[in-house]
Amino acid sequence: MATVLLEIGTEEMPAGYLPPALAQLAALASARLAVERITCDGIQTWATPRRLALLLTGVAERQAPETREVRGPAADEAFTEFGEPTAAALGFARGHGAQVSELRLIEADGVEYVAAIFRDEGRPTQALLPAVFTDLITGLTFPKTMRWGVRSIHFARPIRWIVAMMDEQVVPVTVGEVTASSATRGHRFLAPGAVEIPTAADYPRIMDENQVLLAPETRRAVITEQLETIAAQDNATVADDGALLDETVYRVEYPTAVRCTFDPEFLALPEEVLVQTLREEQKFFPLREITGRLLPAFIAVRNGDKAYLSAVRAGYEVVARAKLLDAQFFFEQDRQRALADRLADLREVVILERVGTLYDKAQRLQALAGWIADELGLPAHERAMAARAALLCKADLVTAMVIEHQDLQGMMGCVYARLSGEAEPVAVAIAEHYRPRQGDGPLPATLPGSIVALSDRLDTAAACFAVGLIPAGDEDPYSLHAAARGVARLLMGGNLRLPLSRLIAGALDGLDVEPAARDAAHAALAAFFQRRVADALVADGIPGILARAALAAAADSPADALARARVLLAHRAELAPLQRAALRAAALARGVEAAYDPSALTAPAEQVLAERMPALAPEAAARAARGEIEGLYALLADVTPQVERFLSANGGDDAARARARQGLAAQVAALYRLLADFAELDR
Amino acid sequence: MKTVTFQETIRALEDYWAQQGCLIEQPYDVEMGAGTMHPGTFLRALGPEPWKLACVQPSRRPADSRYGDNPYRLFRHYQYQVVLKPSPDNAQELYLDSLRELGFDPRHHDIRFMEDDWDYPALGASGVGWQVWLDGLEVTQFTYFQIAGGQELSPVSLELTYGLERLCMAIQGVSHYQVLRWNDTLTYGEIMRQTEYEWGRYTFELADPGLLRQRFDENEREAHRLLDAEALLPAYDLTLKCSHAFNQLDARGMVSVTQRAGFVARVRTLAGRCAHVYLKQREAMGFPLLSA
Repeated sequence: MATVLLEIGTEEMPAGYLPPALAQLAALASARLAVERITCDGIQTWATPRRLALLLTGVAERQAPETREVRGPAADEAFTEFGEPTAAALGFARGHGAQVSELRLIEADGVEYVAAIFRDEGRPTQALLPAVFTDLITGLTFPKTMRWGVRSIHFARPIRWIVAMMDEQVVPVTVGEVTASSATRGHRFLAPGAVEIPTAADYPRIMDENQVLLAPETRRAVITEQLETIAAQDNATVADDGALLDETVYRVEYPTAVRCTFDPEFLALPEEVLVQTLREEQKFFPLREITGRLLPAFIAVRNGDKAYLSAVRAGYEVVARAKLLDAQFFFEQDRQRALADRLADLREVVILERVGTLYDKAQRLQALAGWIADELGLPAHERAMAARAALLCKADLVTAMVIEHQDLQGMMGCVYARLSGEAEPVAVAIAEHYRPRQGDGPLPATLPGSIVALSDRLDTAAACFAVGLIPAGDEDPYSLHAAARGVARLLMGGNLRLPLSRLIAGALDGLDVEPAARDAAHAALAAFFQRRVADALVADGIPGILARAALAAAADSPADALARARVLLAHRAELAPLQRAALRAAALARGVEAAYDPSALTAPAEQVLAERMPALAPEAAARAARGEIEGLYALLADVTPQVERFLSANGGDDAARARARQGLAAQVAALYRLLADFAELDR
Repeated sequence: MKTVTFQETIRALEDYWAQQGCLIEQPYDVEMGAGTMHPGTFLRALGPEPWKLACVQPSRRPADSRYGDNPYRLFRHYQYQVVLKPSPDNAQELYLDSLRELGFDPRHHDIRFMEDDWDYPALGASGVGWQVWLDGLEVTQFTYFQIAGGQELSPVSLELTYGLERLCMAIQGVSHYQVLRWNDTLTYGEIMRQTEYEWGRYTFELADPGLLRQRFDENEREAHRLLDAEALLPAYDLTLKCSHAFNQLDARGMVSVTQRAGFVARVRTLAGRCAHVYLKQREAMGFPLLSA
């Protein structure tokens, strides 16, 4: 049994690349060893900014032996009736380098065949490792790769050394003109220079001795403990959402945390600005008092030890001060004017030559949000909040803070709206209107926020489509896919149950479009949005066929399509009888009006169902209209046995009765279509 | 650490990179936002010919104007630009040695390579690398240049861009550019503060967006005309001017997110044509530096 080590030494890798690379490395190694029939007891992987490492323990010295059969011609074709080998047998044996006398008979599917039997004793693991390691290194994938110098390979960052060893032996591997050795490197500054590894199993110890905390979980524990110790001295907590800690783990090989301070005058800045500046830009951990207020202090994590730490801390503090001064410069400059006064500046910001300025857009959004509020039947004061927020929602784009920090758009609008004396729901709606930021990000929590968010995206898409800027393929320079996905998610979110076609018409009403172009834009937008609704349903975990079946029944209302899709998914195992009934009814009714003469029906199964329909049909339609889809499903499931009996009743050859049966079937088919287009389930 | 003036810092870098075999060039005299746009970087990075260059390059960034008040942000700052083509295998060590030469012992600091995939859409250029942080302060952009003018680069150039003011402030242990000692008698502020104030006023208050848009249009038209005639270098200067006009408009908040795509695409088209003509010319000359 041997120990095998692979270390890929690189220039500093992006922190976010390392956790997925670790998972890949373990999976690729495990799969490849299985293919090579090399057994091992344990696979360990580690990553630091400068290395990806794989340590295999209890590795077999040779491949596991293997017996392999290669099937040849059928026995009766391989030998004559006298037992002499035929040309087929001779050819097969020759083709596999075997003597005819070595061929064996095997049986498969009740037929006898000849077969060549090969026994592979396995090669030494040492001989296989070079190819295995080469493929592991070149098989890793990253969000982005690069080239360097005149090297021929791609990797996330330049590979500068490779350690490849089986116990004391170096495994000869060369990747990208870098040749493996037994020399690694310790911490870049604390242990500079090459370090020899005597044998693969020594690797973790060698790293430890050279100031590299190899295991990410060790670094996480050390950093967490240091952060908590420092925070506890201030009776404070660390203001991190977890993301900065995750990142810091992969930015250091030897972490040392240090408490730093900044001038309390900066606490006058909005908290979001402080957090953005310290945490997102500088990777410092802000500190929060138990009361929730930020302290004029933060923790920085050095990649190094305690030597000269006070000088390093002074450096961190100078940088923090400069960044906060910058933020203060923007904030002071911005707050000199009320947010509403910025609207005039939006006239200068052209969205696109043919789409007009941000000022035009603000005006359109105000009207559109007010109209949507009316469609929802909101009271006047709520309508006013939504319309006001819509008018102001883009005004922060011309503030200095947002010009500098795009990430703060919306958030700064909210802060400045409050400072300008706008009502709180207006301020909140401005902050919320960029939600959902990603596909599955949170939706606005307030109704005015949802209305503004919806208006913004509808207008963006409608304004571009109206002038023929329609995304084709992957080309989407104006992010219209994201806008449409946002519309889909907002409409599926629950508090905006509105027909898509009406919303499209409302958005187009605000634009100056020729009637002919308007119809084309309407149709293109409806199709574009519906595809995004289908995508959103699938992203929500709905299988594609159920999504299509639900959408076909509620094409114009994403919320209703989602409700149907969820009910279909919940009852997926019980859908077969409903589907059968729906399809058979539709087939029987083909091309016939739903009006019919019930007195022509003669079979009891027909009459029972016909008597029930006058009460059932309106009830089903009402449940569908109220969005009670589970109730609609219950009704359909309940009536399905009766429908099956009706459909199975012998039709006879009376023409009047046959027409009546078709009419009843048409009514029944319409009932099922309230829930789904069951024909989609077969496609 | 010995006290080193601003001009001595520049001289120390010139000496160090000259010892590494770099040609010591002079700043390019057209306004630009980054040393990458110096023809000795953008154009020389194209094609197979080796190249080693170092020089100071003033960088004008209207959006960074602060009327001279911010300790680090300047409308016009000085970059020290180094290009090594192909990028050497000991790239990081060479860079860290240059810091040691300036008196920074890495054991006394926290030097970090923070990933920064540099992307300059207006030049159709992108690179992969880091911002180098010195105790949290970004002092250098360290880039393996991958694409320029839409052309994939081979060999790959290493581009180092030092922020000279920041670096020198760290050397002198001062926390505002104004008090940086330029030489033994004058400070940076005494020489440049008025420049910063006046360009801050111009950028945020006085610049005429209509005129800037018009200049952009005119220079773009002229550049295309010159490229049609394969007058590369004059066309390249006009491309730089378009880029700067766009930066000025942007700093005034006069470019929306969607409109930005249009401006950027127009400059990128020019830069792509420049790259194409440059390569064609060098090829016609038989890539003379290959044998240098």
